[in-house]
Amino acid sequence: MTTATETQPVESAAVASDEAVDIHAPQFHGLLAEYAEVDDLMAAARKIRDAGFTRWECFTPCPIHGLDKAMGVQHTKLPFVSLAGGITGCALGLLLVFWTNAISPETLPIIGDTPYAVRGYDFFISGKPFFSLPANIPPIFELTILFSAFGAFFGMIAMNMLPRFHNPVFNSRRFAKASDDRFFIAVEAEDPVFDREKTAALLSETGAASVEELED
Amino acid sequence: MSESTNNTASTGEVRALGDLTGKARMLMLAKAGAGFALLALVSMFFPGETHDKMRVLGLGYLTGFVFVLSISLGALFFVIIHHLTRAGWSVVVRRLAENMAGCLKYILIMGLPIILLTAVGVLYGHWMQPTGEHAELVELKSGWLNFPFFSLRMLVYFLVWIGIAHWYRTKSIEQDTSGDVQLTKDMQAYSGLALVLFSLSINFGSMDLIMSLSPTWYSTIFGVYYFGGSMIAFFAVMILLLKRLQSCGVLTRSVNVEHFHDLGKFMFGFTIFWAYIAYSQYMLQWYGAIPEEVSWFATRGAETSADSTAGDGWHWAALLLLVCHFLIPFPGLLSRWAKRWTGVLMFWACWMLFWHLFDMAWVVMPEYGAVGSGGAFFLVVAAIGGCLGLGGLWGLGLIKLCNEASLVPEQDPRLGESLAFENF
Repeated sequence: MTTATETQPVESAAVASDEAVDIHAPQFHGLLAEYAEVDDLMAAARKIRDAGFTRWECFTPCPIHGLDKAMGVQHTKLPFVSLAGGITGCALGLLLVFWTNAISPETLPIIGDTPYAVRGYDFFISGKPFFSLPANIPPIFELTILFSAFGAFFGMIAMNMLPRFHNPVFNSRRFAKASDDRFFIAVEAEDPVFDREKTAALLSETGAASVEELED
Repeated sequence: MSESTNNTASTGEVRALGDLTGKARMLMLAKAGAGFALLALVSMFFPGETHDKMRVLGLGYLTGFVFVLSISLGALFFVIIHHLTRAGWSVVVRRLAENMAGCLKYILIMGLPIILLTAVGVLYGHWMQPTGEHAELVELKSGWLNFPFFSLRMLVYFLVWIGIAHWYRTKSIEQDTSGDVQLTKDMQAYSGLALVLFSLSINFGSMDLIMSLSPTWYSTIFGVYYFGGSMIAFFAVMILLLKRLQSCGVLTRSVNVEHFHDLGKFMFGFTIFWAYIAYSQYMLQWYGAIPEEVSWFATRGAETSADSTAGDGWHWAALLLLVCHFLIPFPGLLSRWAKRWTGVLMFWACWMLFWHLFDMAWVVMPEYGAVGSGGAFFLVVAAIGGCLGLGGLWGLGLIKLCNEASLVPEQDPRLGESLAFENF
């Protein structure tokens, strides 16, 4: 049962690539190394980081403390995107409450010819000034939150280049275990430091249980 | 005892005050002396009759009282919520929180002068001797606001607080030697009940202690406002205390930047929480502009539609509180690095503690009445004196409690998790 489900996708992938051999010949994508233990993975990640690789990734079935550091991953820039979103939302909120509540031809003659529906209403509420911050904080606050959440959400999607439906590592049969009990490092051939033989040798030295070539 | 000695030996870490005790006691005594001297001096030279001077003294003392009370109540909430959520990261700092909450029994003693000052009519005069235009309204509330019932309620609140604090601290220290996991289970089992009792008592307690200074005012959110400030004060004191201990070579290994980061996150979060609550309380009453509601804000210099002579001298205070208690620390504490760079975090902890003190002064001191800017300034100085004085006494109590057991819950089942804790 398990064998059947494991082999089937590989066969169909092989068939598909055979059919499309003229246009989409399988291209060498990179190397995939498999590790049995977390410690091996961490040690290997440090070596690869120190060898100057930039286009590579670790795959683990669970979060591992300190892997970011071992990989030399730079701290995320996402908070700045979120902050920019927040500031935008705050400014838009201010503009919204100002435009809809406090604009009139008397205070701003330039809008005198603007249609009434577009230029706001001059609502006189509870004896408060037209532009009255204490009353206006809720919409400004909500827009700030909304836009900073947009920044965080869409910024994350964009920075991770999502949505992405395929990765060449899925072509490896072994890789199915990345969601079970094995740890993987994939190094892309496009990395400037990459060399097919030397990198394979380096990965073998790091104590990998296996090193295989990935095709796409 | 042998357990903790072993642990100290194996970790190479000092988990007791030890020789620092004497020096720390002197420091706290000096603080208490200087604080009370400041309070006494300002009261003595404050213009007015003897009764007015006594009111400055009483209100300054009350500010100090609600200030130290807020730190201990924040600590008590932290201990309860730790067990309620079965938290792992906070085990290494929990004993310090238990000790801070343990100080509630000393705060009960510090409360005796307040009962005395109430009895002689210095504090809570509005309902002790109702006079003036609102006398009739206040007398309608005399079923709740009368001296015997007030004193009884104070006693009940403190019995609840001291009871919870003592129970948790005793169980926790018992575990240091026995290592019994059942103790942790017990503490978790009763944390829900403790939280309910805590919420009710801090709500009614802050209402009685602070809101009843102006008995015609009402705000259903005031207890939450006081709670928000309490949490800021507790996390600020915790950060400062840990930094101080570490600089003296205590708890240098078990508490690391990860724990500071989380304490900083909490302080930051409650800074926003406080602002949210403070704004909610202000905005609704400002909008409604009902005289008996907005007069409380008018007295404290916040912008209202009410007659603003009531807040004479305090016009700067409400805006200053908004800017320094929220607008400046918000971007200051926003970044991850501000919380992980413990020197910077320490600066913000000092900052927040001071502005929490100012918040307490802003809530209590304007009850003295319109005094002009100079008078308001000296009333704040009197409040600082009160906070320093009672803070010093509180610190003496804390030192005593810290010497009774290890500063880390040695046998807590989640200690390992807490020691290895990392933020992503």
